[in-house]
Amino acid sequence: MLTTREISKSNLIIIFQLILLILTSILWAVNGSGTTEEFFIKDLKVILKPNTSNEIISAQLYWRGGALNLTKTNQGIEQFIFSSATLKNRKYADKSWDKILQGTGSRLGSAAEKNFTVISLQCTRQYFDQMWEVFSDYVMNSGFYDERTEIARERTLTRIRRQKDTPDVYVRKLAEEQFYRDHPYELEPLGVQESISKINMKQMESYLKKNLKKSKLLLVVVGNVDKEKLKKKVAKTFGKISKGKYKPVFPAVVVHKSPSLKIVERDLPTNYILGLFSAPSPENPDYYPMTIAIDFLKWRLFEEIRTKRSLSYAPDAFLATNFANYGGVYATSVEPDTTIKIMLEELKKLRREPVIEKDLRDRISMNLTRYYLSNESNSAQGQFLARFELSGLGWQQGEKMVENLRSVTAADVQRVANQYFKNIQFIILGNPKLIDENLITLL
Amino acid sequence: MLKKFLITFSAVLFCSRLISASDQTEKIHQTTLKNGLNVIVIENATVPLVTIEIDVRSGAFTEPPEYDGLSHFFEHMFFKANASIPNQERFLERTRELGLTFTATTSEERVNYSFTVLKDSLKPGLEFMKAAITTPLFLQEELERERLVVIDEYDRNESNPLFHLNREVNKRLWYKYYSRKNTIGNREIILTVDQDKMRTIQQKYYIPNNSVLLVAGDVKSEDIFELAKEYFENWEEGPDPFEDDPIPFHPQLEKNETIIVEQDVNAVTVMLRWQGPSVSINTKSTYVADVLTVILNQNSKFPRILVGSGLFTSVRFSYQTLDQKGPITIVATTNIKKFRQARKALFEEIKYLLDRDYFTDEQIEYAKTNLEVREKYSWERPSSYIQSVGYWWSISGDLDYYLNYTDNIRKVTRDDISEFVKKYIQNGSYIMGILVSPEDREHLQLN
Repeated sequence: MLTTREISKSNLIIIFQLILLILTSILWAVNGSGTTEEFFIKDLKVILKPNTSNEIISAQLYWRGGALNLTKTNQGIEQFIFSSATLKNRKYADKSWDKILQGTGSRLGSAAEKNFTVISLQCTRQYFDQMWEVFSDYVMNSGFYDERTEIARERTLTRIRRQKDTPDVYVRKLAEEQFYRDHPYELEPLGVQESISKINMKQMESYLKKNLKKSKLLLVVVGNVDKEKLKKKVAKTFGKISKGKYKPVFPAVVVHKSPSLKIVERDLPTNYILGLFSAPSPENPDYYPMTIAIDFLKWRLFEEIRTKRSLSYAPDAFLATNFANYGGVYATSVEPDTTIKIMLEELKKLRREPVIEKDLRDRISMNLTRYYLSNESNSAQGQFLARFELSGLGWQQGEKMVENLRSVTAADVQRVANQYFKNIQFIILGNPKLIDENLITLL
Repeated sequence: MLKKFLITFSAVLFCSRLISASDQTEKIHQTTLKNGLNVIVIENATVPLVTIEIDVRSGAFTEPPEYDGLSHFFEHMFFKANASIPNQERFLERTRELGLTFTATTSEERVNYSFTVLKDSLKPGLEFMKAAITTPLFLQEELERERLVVIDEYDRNESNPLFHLNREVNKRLWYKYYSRKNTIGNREIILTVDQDKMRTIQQKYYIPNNSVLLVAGDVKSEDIFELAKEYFENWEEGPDPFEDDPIPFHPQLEKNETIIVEQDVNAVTVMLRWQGPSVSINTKSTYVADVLTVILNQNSKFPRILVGSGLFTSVRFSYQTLDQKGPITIVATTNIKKFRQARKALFEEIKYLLDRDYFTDEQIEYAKTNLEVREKYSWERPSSYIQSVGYWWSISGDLDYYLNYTDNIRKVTRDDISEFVKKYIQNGSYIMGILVSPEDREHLQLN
């Protein structure tokens, strides 16, 4: 047991911060109003997080599977369905549907990701009843018409073609292609030229019929919503969808046995560097120490590459949230070779040396700020809960984020660095002449 | 003295409880310190965080050619040595100790610095902000190092094809005082930055009577006002920077001009830009512009005919609210097959904007509701909402423009919209930029 005299200044700071963290999480539970709960309505799982602190309601319907639902020939079909669909229901057909969105300031959208497709509604409380009908109709009674489908097709094809126009978008695309080669996630949720050019309305209709099953869906609602009323709404609408027999399937972890370096030549004022490596996904206990390890890496890259050497404006390290996950290092630089060498050195340093306890507490505190920042809005809170639920771990784990981050130790950080910071798949978009051929031997 | 602002609305749409921003504005409080520093507090306890922000009326609009881009450079120097912090390494270390996330932006008429901390770190956060904003040292070694960082940021901008389109259009639209619209600046000027220029910017613009302190989050206004006094009342005020050195007014554009910008792109992008209204001179027009923006981007004839017909894959109309002639812009994307027909149709639609039946009364009302609800959505995120409020303060000089925003949006009439279209779009001259690849340009024989 420590006596007062034995407690150093830094230990005091750590203890003080720990107390603050505990207090903060307790206080937030009070501010965040209601308690999150889950229930089934006619076999559809619903997560409800009440929030009376604002008038916004967020409803998100997740369609499980993502890239795992796709084949080479139908890549992008889920995104295409919701960008070309209109409503068959006469009440909301086409123009009047858009009118309701405009008249209420509501937002209805869809996004297809590697992990899932989500259809989301954001509206104010006073329009929730009205918007619920539109939202459920959009999902359940989508119809396809030549004219609208062709416009959506052209728009999607343009979007695919334009991915090459912006270096940041293109380098991410190239890096993901390299990282997920020969893996189910190599299929593109947005689609590719070949698939989007050929998908027809009949295919979309039969895909919806075959795949839109309650066992594949998850509904997450955050906001000032009456639980009993919501239950009735869900039963009356999504409750009618057939159950199906879907059992969640997760993609295999990506394993690269060796590093790689691919240079894509492009005449640019600077060079874009992106390196991806396998990383734990949210359902893996390593996800929390990895979050902290990445944070250490991020700031060390910032200090070494930007602050001390002025090599780059935007060095970064990040952790994605895919179920077959990756972490990454990124920078733009006119000296890509030197920049990559520093990246590698910092990765090695985290493997080699344990982090200092005070630094660890600072990083955890910083992550806590970021955690709250990313949970400011109802829709962000919904996304957060859904990611944990869909990962198979359960949304409750999301609510333990603070606790899990706080329990990370210096040994954990070093262990995950050793386990994951290796076999990096680098992509460089820029000038090949600036890269030393021997660089590959250092990876 | 603490002032409370409350806005009430009369219900117009759906005859139901129309959403008003009154609940929000009730939670916005402001005061002014003896040295002229405005203090704005936004009480929003959604999460246990506090965002501390300082906005300064600085940015591109203050820059003659020899200072082109230096407001942005100054913003970078904020995160370095000051009277309390010996260097950038220590600055970053302190952010970690405080669990502080930070962001800063430079735009045409505002530079802002924003810190977010757990609410228990409010006081050290304020202290940290005070040191950085009032006592930057501009160490020569740090200046030298930062030059290269800013140049890489410049290079990143130049790697984006749209940046070139935007720059070429702006050079012609703001032909006389282009540096005062060019936030990223001029490469050569960035390379010559020195301590004297940084000091000049600091002494002239970084004074309390040209700045606002905003605090948003899990706080009480009376506590913040006390703390603001404690930390910022000694910040020395200075002469009004715009009295001694008024911002020159951009002259009217006399004729339309079309330019071709070649880049390695996979679509054809058309950008049309006009000089728009100024907040202090044409206040009403700035509200009208926002209503028109929503009408033209939603389900009116404009997108239905241009996008719904398949001529363009996207068309966006926008107005950037500024005090020095905010630009009105249309950006539209198409492909080489449809380019000529699409461009012709775009100009046809602009011609029809004045037709009585071009948009309905219902669409005008919907647009107003949309703008109101958008305010609700932005309130959800105190850390970004504070930046919006700071922006409105900076471009208008006080908070009234924002606090009366929804009321003024509600007052916009069909005739106001027609007048706006006539004055700024149909009778105004434009610059049209066409972003195209060299191959497509050749194919289209564009000159």
